[in-house]
Amino acid sequence: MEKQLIVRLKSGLELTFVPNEVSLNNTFIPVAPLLNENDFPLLIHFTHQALVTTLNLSKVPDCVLLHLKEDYSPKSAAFCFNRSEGDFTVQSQCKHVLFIPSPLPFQLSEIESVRLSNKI
Amino acid sequence: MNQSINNNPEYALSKESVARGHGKFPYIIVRMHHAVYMQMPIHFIAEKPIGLTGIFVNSPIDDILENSSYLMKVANEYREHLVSKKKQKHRLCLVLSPLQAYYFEENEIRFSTSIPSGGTLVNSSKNVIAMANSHFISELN
Repeated sequence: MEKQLIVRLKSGLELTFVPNEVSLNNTFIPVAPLLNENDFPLLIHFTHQALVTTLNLSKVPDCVLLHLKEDYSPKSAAFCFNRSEGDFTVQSQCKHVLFIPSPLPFQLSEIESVRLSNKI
Repeated sequence: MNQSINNNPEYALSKESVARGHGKFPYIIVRMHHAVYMQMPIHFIAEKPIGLTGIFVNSPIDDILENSSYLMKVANEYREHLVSKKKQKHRLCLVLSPLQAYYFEENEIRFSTSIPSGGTLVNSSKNVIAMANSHFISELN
């Protein structure tokens, strides 16, 4: 069974992402080590009960973060472009975050929906 | 869309092909036949320069991120062009970097970190421009 995240654009095009998944109970997460072990796209699930997760994006390759609600519908997005040695963190209020490498070949405003699909 | 590569410099992209726009991201790879691929470079330019080949998108902005956001639309329109005008239903792939590709399959567009490589690479005139090599020039991208 293959878990897919399908991003539907307003144009009707549907993009399929088969993510590597990680479930974590921490509220502070260094993301760079996760991307050293897992290719893009990366889907992180937060299993803790806190309201916010802090993601340390220092040394992470250029990518876009899609913050997804519990039903995987998109709530917001963030861009990660590291151009210096300084630390860089973002916070997420969502239960899932999908990391897609940049550049994105579509505009975020074109996203109509995101859904989960399990394909045999 | 991957064949084994041996990176023999004799069959790599020539300087002439690179000068015409081949080997630089982004580009579209069209699977013509088994192990035969056509590369269509994509250029975002305000004016079409002499000597470049591929798909030209009129853009006065020199911003990679801004221009890249139109690539899915460009690739889809090119696929529709192949189907409607040329009556060809080839598989194609939008390649953005050495680790980013969007494969246009029959019923889906699938992201992959594995980009097409190897085989016989031809240009839009069906001339062979590389064989059993990467489809991009790494020192330029």
